[in-house]
Amino acid sequence: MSSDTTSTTEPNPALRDGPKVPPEQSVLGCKDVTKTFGAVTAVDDVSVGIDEGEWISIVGPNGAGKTTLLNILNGFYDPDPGGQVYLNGEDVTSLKSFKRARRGLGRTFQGLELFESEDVLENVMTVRAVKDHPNLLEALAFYGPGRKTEAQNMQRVEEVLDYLELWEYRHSEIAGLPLGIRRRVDLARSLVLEPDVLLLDEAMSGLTFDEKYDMIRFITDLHEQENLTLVMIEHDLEVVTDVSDRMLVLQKGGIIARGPPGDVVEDPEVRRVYTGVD
Amino acid sequence: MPCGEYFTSYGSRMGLFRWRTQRIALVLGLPIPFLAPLAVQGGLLSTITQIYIFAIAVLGLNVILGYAGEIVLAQGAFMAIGAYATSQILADGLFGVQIGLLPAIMVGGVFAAFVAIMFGIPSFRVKGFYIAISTLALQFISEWFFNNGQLEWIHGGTQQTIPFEVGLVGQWFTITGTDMELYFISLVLMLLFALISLNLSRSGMGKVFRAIHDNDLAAGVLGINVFRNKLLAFAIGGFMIGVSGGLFGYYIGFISPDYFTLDLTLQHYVMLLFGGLGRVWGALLGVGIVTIIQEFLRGFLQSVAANATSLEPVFFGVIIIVVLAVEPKGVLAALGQLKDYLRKWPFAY
Repeated sequence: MSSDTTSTTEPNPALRDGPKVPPEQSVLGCKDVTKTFGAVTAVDDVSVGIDEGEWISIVGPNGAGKTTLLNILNGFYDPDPGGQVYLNGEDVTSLKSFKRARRGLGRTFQGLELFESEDVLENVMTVRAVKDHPNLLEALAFYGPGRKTEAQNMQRVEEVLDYLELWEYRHSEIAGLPLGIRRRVDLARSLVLEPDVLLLDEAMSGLTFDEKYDMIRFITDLHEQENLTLVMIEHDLEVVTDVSDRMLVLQKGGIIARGPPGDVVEDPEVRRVYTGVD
Repeated sequence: MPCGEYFTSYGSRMGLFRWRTQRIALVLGLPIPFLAPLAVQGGLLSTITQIYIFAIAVLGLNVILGYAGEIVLAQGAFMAIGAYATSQILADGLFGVQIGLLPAIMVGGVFAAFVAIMFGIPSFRVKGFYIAISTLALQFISEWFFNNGQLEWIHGGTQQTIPFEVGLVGQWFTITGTDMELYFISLVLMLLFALISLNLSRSGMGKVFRAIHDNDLAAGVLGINVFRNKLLAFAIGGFMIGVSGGLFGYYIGFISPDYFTLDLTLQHYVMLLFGGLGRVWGALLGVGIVTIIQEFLRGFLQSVAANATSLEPVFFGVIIIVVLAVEPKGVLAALGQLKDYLRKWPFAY
């Protein structure tokens, strides 16, 4: 893009409005959220509301606060006092991350964070086990309901592995797998919790063209078939504009634009942030 | 045409003995410890009994360290709590009622589990190495507590003699503490706790423990209540170690804090690491091999010179270092590699 193009375009005021959906009524949202680490403000007074079945992408340069915002949404970080987080219309600010996950908030990790000493099947089975709240006596006896639940879990996990074309890797150790497969395992792990909302933290980072294509295909199918609400952090603007319903641009912890991807990428302020050219 | 064994259900795939060779090994191997007293008696039978008793404690340590990844240095403390509680219950009864040896041992285990939980709640505010240090504090508190004569009204006396003639359950099935009785009680309890450990390992709860061990941050975000499950692992492990302590007290017939020092804790660590961390068979193998090495060394050094037994820890330490340097994952992993090698032989891969 040239500086001539941007200098002739005025900032679009419609992209500077507040959240389209009030956070209190959203499937996932936050209101007046700020997060500071010492003197650094990582997220600055952000309010977001995501509608059911929507696919929102969060973009911005490195250090813009994207992952911090995701971490606040899923409860890994607490927002500074005054900020609130909503899940399915309920204030979950005080809920810990594991409780939010059990209420339908799944996520993948930029750094993968897989259980490295286990194989693919065990990685996914572990998370699936959480859904049934393992019972101590059933675990120790491993007979009757406990055994039946474990068999049902394995069946469901294998369906997910099959869907993500991970079947042939199910008994492979995580450590030796290529990045594309590891990212799919991460996605499989979040899917077996059957989330209402899925947070994808740079799920396509470091992938080859083919791997990225496969990942988009899996996520798009899920979004369309299961009406899964998606929040995705992604640097590839081509991917973001192709698949997202709405886009949110962060810069220095604050939202500088939000709206339909086509409009947002044409906004001069967004272009300036991305290219560094006024 | 298909060949080999196939699983026709998820249930069969989750079995403990899934392959034909494993089932044959079970049928042929299980009777051996039950028939062993026909061929083995005296000191050797007593040594094997001690292996079974320590195996229960090492299985408990395996739950805490091998599954959940928490370093606990209070093995001796948990065993002491189990032993003193069992001794008190056998002497005075539980609320005045004689409940017998097995229930007394179990109640001793419950006491140990309770202390594990009470100590775990504040300890889990810190992580890793710091938990090890805080549990080490429990070990020293325990030694001070049971050595303190002024606290006799709580623990019943620093040194206690446990009566051998007790009912196995309540007043029934009276036993007199013969080598044979102790052997079979220890064997059955060890098999029971080995089965429980195997079940825990293949259940969802075992998977959750291992996930916390691997990556507790990710585990929390993926729906696992890390704090609760760490406590649960502590409680299960503490219970098993406490049971082992109660049984050990009855086996010796006399308890003193000197039996439950940090040395015992370290000895159980060596057994677990030697066999293979996180593996039930590894824990059992580790206890057996380490005890045999110790006994062999003691006998060998005694035959060399009367005062040479003081060198036993030196030789023992060298053996442990050599084995762990060759195979850090323990003897079980080495056996697995050997099996793999033989399966492929004469080819390299």
